[in-house]
Amino acid sequence: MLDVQNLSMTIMIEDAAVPILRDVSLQVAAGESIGLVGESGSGKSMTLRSILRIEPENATVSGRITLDGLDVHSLRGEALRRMRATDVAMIAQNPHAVLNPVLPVERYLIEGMHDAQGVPRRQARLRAGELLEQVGIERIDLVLGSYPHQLSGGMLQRVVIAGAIAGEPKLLLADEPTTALDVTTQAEVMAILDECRRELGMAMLFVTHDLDLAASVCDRINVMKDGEIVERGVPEQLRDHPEHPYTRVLMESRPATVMWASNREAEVAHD
Amino acid sequence: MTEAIISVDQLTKTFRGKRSRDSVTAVDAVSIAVQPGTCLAVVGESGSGKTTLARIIVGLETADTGTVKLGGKTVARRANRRTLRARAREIQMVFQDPQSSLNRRLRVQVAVDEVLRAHTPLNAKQRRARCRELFEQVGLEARHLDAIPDELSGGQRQRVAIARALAAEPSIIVLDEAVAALDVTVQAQILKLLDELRRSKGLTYLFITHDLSVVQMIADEVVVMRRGSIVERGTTAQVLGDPQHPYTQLLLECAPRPGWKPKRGVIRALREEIAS
Amino acid sequence: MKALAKRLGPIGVGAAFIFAIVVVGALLAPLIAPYDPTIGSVTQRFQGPSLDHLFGTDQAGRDIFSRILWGARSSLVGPLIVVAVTGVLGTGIALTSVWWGGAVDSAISRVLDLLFAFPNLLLAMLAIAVFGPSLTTAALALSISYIPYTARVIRSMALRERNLAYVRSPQLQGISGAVITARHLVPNVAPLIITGATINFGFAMIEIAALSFLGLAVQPPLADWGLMVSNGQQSLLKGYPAESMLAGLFIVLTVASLGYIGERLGGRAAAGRRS
Repeated sequence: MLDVQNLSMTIMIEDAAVPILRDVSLQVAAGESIGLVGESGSGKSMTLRSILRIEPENATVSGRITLDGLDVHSLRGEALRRMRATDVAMIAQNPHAVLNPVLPVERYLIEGMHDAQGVPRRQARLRAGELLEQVGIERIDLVLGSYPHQLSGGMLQRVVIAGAIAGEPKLLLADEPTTALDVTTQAEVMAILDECRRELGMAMLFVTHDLDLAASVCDRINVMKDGEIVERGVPEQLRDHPEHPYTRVLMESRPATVMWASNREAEVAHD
Repeated sequence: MTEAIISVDQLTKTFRGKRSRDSVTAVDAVSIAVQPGTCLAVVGESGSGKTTLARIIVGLETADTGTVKLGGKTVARRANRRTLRARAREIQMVFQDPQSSLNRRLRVQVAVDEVLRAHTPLNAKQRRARCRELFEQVGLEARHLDAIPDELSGGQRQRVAIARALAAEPSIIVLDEAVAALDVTVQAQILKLLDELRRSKGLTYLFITHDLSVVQMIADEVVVMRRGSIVERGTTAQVLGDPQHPYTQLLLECAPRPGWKPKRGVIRALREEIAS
Repeated sequence: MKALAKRLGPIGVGAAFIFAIVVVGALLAPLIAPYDPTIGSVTQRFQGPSLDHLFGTDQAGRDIFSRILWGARSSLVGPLIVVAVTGVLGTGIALTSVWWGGAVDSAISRVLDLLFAFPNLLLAMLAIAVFGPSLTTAALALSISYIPYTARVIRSMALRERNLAYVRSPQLQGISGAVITARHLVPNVAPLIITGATINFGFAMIEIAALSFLGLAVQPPLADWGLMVSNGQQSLLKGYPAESMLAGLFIVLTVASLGYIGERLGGRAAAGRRS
């Protein structure tokens, strides 16, 4: 469904062309979840921005990105707007930057559905409640009437996810959606994101610096370094037989807290 | 058992809001003891009070009640310039964000030089030589002395911050999420450096972190904080291997690891157990 | 120089060029002004532009070109006093407030709030009523009314910086607040101080011109752009708009140039911080 072919990007910085992406190719099939893992400066977020055509102004881009056969780079004006509004949805790292601070959450969801998909406001209002239920929010009316600053980061990110799935887009683009959250909140939000995506059969491109986090929700993972994809594979394969030295370093840098995990898994097996 | 080098007794700090219901007790009757040459990790999420605890110990914040003893001596509750200067020779701090840990308008050497000037009788030439030595100890090169922060990577800046902390030759270093803002591969390098420095210099660390993987790599003992209180303490192996408190279990359950899946049911069950 | 030109952009370079011409004209007025700006000749009234009188003459037969040159002096000196006084006191007050925090900060904030309540020009007129009309009185009075703006903006930025590690760390070493402020805080809020100064300069120029226009700052027969706009009014009605128009044009050009430069430098400095 999403097909990125030989995507390259350079950015002019002080008269020098700095390569940001080199020959990045990746595919996401309908309903599939693909991870893009890398550290800062690896180009993972730029790849995502290219798909939405929101790359920096001074960037030169080559290569081909198609979404259901439609060449994204040839889209202009209304067609581009429609692609952004209905075919893909983005979940960014900082929900505070996404939600208008002076509008209650309800308005964010309603306006989103009304403007992007043309859902009548009355209908959108009903649907807003359903969506919040879907992302595991319990006190729905309270949250709908709240302003962004009254809610925690985890709660807001759920609202953003609700907004993203409202139009049932074909593709979710998630850019480090849980990096700003506490670890326990992260686990809940990831669980919710994964469930919603599966239920609605949406594809996802998940960008993160955390290999284990990507492995928990992705069918396949691409490891990026310095603007290139250096290794790709299913999570188990990357974990057990990493081929590229960088993937190995990435794994070894975080000896996961396995002690309790192994104890517990043994317990579970025992039961 | 030797005498603890950091000994905190019944420390309490409440931040008062305009209305009484806005008041938050960030640290609530917390006691800890750290043996010389060891690393104690203080683990918690945002709002746990772990950073406030660290700030009280170094003197950036004043506790309402309770005492802090460093090297057997009780430190003044309300710090002033003179007491801070004395305390700084015992305890130093490395802050979280490499972006703001150094003045971006000055050469990085100045940050280290400033500390040498405050705590040692060295002259300019000797200080320059000492800076070079300290840079070497943290894995930086002489050419980095005259760099400005923008010319260094996040990891290099954090190395300068460590050199700055070492300059006063303290026996204790408080590390406040000192690797949280770094890439994982850089994190591993910095943690390795910190571990080596601790062994070679016999330093004591108080490591404030939210990250259990960091704890596993560097800490001998752990305290787990939640909403201002310590809910569990023990050796790293005990706490990570056989956690007793449901909150510690929740933290461990939620930490991504190979083969991990986030499970809403398990999280909810543990949350209910914590609440009860 | 090249880096500066790049930061200013093509329009900014043009603006800097215009401002430089005004400054050079003001500095060299005694050398290049062809006539005495205060002495006219009745036989030479309302002359059009000619080689003798580049911009023509006013109703008193004085050379407008010479008056514009000399007028640039008082028109620049007034705002310069305002900017200097505001910059030094505003920054000083802001940094004191930030460093001591607590009660000191609240007290200073209350005083600033009080000053805020006075309209600038009204405060200036009050001072002039007490001390008599002169450029110095007008400039000092305006300075006082500008201080709250400057202090408040710098305070909010310094407050953010104060909590960052590069300021906290020397504090923990027991280094004095004055040293830390001078070495660490001032250089890091400097871009804001400079931007604030350019903006204040523009406002001050217009307000002093307004006061001169009302006869409350620079006194005739001295040359001043604000005064010239006012003087030229009667000529304007008689069909000789040169004096008012030219003086007005120079005020607008100077203020706009400086405003653009300030925006460019300030905006870029702010952007540099974020990256």
